[in-house]
Amino acid sequence: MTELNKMLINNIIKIKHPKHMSVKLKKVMPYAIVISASLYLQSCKPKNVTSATSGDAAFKSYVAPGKYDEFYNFVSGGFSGQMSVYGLPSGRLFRVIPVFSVDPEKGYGFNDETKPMLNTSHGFVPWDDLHHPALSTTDGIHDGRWAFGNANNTPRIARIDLKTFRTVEIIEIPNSGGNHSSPFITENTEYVVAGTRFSVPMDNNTDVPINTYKENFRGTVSFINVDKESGKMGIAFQILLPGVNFDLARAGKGKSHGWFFFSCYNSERANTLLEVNSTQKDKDFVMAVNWKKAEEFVKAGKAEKRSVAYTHNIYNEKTHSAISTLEKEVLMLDPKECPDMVYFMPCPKSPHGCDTDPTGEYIVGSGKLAAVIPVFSFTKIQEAIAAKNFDGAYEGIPVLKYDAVLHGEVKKPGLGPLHTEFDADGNAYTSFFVSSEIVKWKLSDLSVVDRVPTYYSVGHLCVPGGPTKKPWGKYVIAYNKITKDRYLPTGPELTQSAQLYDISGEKMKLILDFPTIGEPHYAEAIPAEVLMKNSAKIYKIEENQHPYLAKGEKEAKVERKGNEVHVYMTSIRSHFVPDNIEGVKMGDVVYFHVTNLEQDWDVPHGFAVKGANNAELLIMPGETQTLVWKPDRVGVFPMYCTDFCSALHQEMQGYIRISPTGSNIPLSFSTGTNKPASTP
Amino acid sequence: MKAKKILAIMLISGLISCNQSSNENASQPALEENTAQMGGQEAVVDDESQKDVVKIAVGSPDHTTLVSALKQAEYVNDLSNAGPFTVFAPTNEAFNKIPKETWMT
Repeated sequence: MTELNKMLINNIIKIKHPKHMSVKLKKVMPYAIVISASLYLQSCKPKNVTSATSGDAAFKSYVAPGKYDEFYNFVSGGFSGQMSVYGLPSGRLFRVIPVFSVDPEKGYGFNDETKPMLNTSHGFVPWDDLHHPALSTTDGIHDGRWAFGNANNTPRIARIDLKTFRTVEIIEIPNSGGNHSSPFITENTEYVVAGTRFSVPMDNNTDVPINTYKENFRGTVSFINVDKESGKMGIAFQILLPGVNFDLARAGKGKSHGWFFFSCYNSERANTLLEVNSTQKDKDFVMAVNWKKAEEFVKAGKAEKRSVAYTHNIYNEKTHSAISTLEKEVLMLDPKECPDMVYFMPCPKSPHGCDTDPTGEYIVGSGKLAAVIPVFSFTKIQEAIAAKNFDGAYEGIPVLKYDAVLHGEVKKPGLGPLHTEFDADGNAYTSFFVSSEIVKWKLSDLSVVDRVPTYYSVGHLCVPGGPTKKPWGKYVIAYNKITKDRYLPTGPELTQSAQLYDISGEKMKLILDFPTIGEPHYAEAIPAEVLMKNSAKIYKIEENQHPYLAKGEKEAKVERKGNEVHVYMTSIRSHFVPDNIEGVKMGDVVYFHVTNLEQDWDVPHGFAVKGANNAELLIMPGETQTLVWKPDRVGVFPMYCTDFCSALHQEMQGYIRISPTGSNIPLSFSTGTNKPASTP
Repeated sequence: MKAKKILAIMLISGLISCNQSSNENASQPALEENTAQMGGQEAVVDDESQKDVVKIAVGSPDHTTLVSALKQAEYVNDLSNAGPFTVFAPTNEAFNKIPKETWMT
């Protein structure tokens, strides 16, 4: 509430209770009323940015029924482990893509086809924490092919195919703990990087006392190459680094293409009470990596082969199945053997965000406890390296002089700067967690030009195309950590929120507020037309190479292999083939391989059987999925289609009979015939 | 005191008129300009799926009478839904065998 409104309300209260008015107040009252009345007139105009939304907010974020949004917004699901897809400017949720956590609604991690996706060197991991989406680029511009996401807990990177909006690949990162500085990508998606947040003992030397941190704990950043055509990932090399905490990163672009910048904190290398012990120094670092040079060192055989264990899981869209492979080797580059590859730049204080502007000239560091925002110049970095303008070394790695590489500092920007995004007009937008605001400033003269509050405690920001060479602009979205009273309360556990601001004018204007899935960290937005034309409608049944496919009802069957019973089942409106199955016994394991024979857009079929200890299947047209069921008792068990598929969806059902072990009832199956043979 | 009361009333009435005017500004033009023309499922553009009954009939030169009858009876939207539908689809030739008098009744 503004001071003006407070005054007004106080005055109205006092008018209603004149006997409480002091003599002094009675004298000033008429003036006060006149003043407050005129102020009130002002507040009839669209409210200003500090109080609430602008007057035409509803118009600006309204997308009429049947009309499309202008942008897709890919939002990290945080501790939900998933990635959600919203429309902008409406804030409508379209899809939650299961990535690192199981999703019983879609059968992800429950059906036999997707279980291998969540396999790791630690075995099956059903949950993780996804912080940062990254959309693939060509020449630094969104190309709409893939989205990448990081697993923060058990270090992994996932790739999502943007034709199907499904997770198609997950690769584990060895020699890492807490994959936070990830998955940021180079200009042509040559590499996705994964920097470890926790420095850890390397995988070949694990059992060490924790208080030997300084001797035994190391940080790594991994460069994962991405195949130009298929998108398939592979760890090209890792770089062995001092035991700091790597936080965030951005690739250079344009003139700085070939370089990568990583923020790091805990240069004190503390292993306990980091909130005190890792905030001792006034400056930590932004690390600059010349990855083209790193490539040359790998080619020249400078990398050491390290034996490790990590999984690489790939989903095949033809067999509709994933395969998990255990990899055992990684190439490691040590900067001590590879000069001119890695440099540190001092950065105040406890750096978090590390963002490169669309031209690639400026690198913006954001220290969580810093009073300024330092902006580094790529040109000056190159000059300082050429002139060996160093301020000593940190663990053998040259430290560039702060003043020599600095373009300048944004003065008095706010409290607790975290992340910066950019528009196409030379403006930067930085989020401030402590002061709960977005600050707009100019890259040219580093002057602050506007600020707006967020509700509350903003983390990341997203400008459509903000991290690319071609920001689409129009909006900045704030992803907030704290909601408190913003929505109808739902008990102690509240949703997180996103706030959409119009940045088409000089002033940022709040126009929409919408809840999110899990905790949103980073997000990216891409114009709808780049993606929607490529979106798949069905899987072609003639291309289905699933080993347990039934391509038509004539191929439906039930086969016994020892105690395994394989049901090759089909579904089409509105029946299963087979829908009566007998001759299955206690101790058998039943595999329902269900093929959706439909070739019609938006006609999925579901499958569920009573007592199954996992989830449903949700099978898209032309796809095959497998549910494993271990009957726990003798009886007749219903099974049915879970997705409303047709007018007679409720009739889409069947039975499977389970008989005692040793029963001599023969295996039989049918649809549409009551077979008398197998009674009793 | 009287003057103060009048002022208070003015303030309150100001509040009401203020709300009304801002509502009008915000929502009305949006609704009128943005409401999409909405068709049924027959209007969905989809070249990948198998053709439904309606699309097959529309593409057939032998079923023009059936199609116009479906349109006239407003069955096109219904038959574009998820089905499954079994349609006995007389050809134009079959329709032509029906005496004209029957058509008219």
